[in-house]
Amino acid sequence: MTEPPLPPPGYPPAGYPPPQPAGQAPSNHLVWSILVTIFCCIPFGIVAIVKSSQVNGLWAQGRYAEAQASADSAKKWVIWSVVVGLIVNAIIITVNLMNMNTNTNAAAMMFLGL
Amino acid sequence: MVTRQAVVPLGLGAPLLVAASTTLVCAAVWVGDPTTPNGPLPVCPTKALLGIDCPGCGSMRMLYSLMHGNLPAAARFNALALAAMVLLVWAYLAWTYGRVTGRRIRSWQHRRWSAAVALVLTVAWFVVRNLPFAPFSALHV
Repeated sequence: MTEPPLPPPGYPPAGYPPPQPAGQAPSNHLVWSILVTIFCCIPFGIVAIVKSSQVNGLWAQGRYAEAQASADSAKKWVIWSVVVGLIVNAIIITVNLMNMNTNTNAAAMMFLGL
Repeated sequence: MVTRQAVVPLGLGAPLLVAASTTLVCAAVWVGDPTTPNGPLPVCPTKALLGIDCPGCGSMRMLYSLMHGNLPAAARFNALALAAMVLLVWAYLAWTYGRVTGRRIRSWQHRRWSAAVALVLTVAWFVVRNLPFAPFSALHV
């Protein structure tokens, strides 16, 4: 693997926003992007990974604002993925449970000879 | 640091929350048994709507098999997610260790090309497991 990105130079060219105070690339949220891709079952996670993958490269090129924008965008897609994934899956679980309940009731009624 | 005493328990709150959520998901998967059809756990919405395997399809069955010690079945249900589990646990441990010691630990996800590699693998996996001919059709779950 390559070296981790060097901290940005203290004084970027004019026109660039000032570097981040910590001098480190913003978090690319890669772990969360992978998590939602695997477990939220909707393709938003892939968009989050795409955004994550842009962060370090942009930062290494000194495009700090764009790196930050990609990091924020990755975070946004992770959050949407979690929200939509939770809602959709909660609905499906509820429907499944209701179906199972109906089946169980039917089975119980058959068992009771009704 | 004067506030060190106050900071440490706060720092462990997030790792504990993640551990609790993971335990909850694992318990639900254990009880729900996604390997038996028509259970309470949802089929992937992407699969239900579009009929294709997304990169995450089979993850719950993979988790269920993994918890029951059946590694070949886990790899069969979602090999990429199984590999990702190792990395995710690694990242979790590094992150928690960093929280405890108060330092930022560099883990795999901070490396320059990690995200690009993850993207390529995910997209390739998405394509490969949906190819409708042998040997790739064996990857369909």
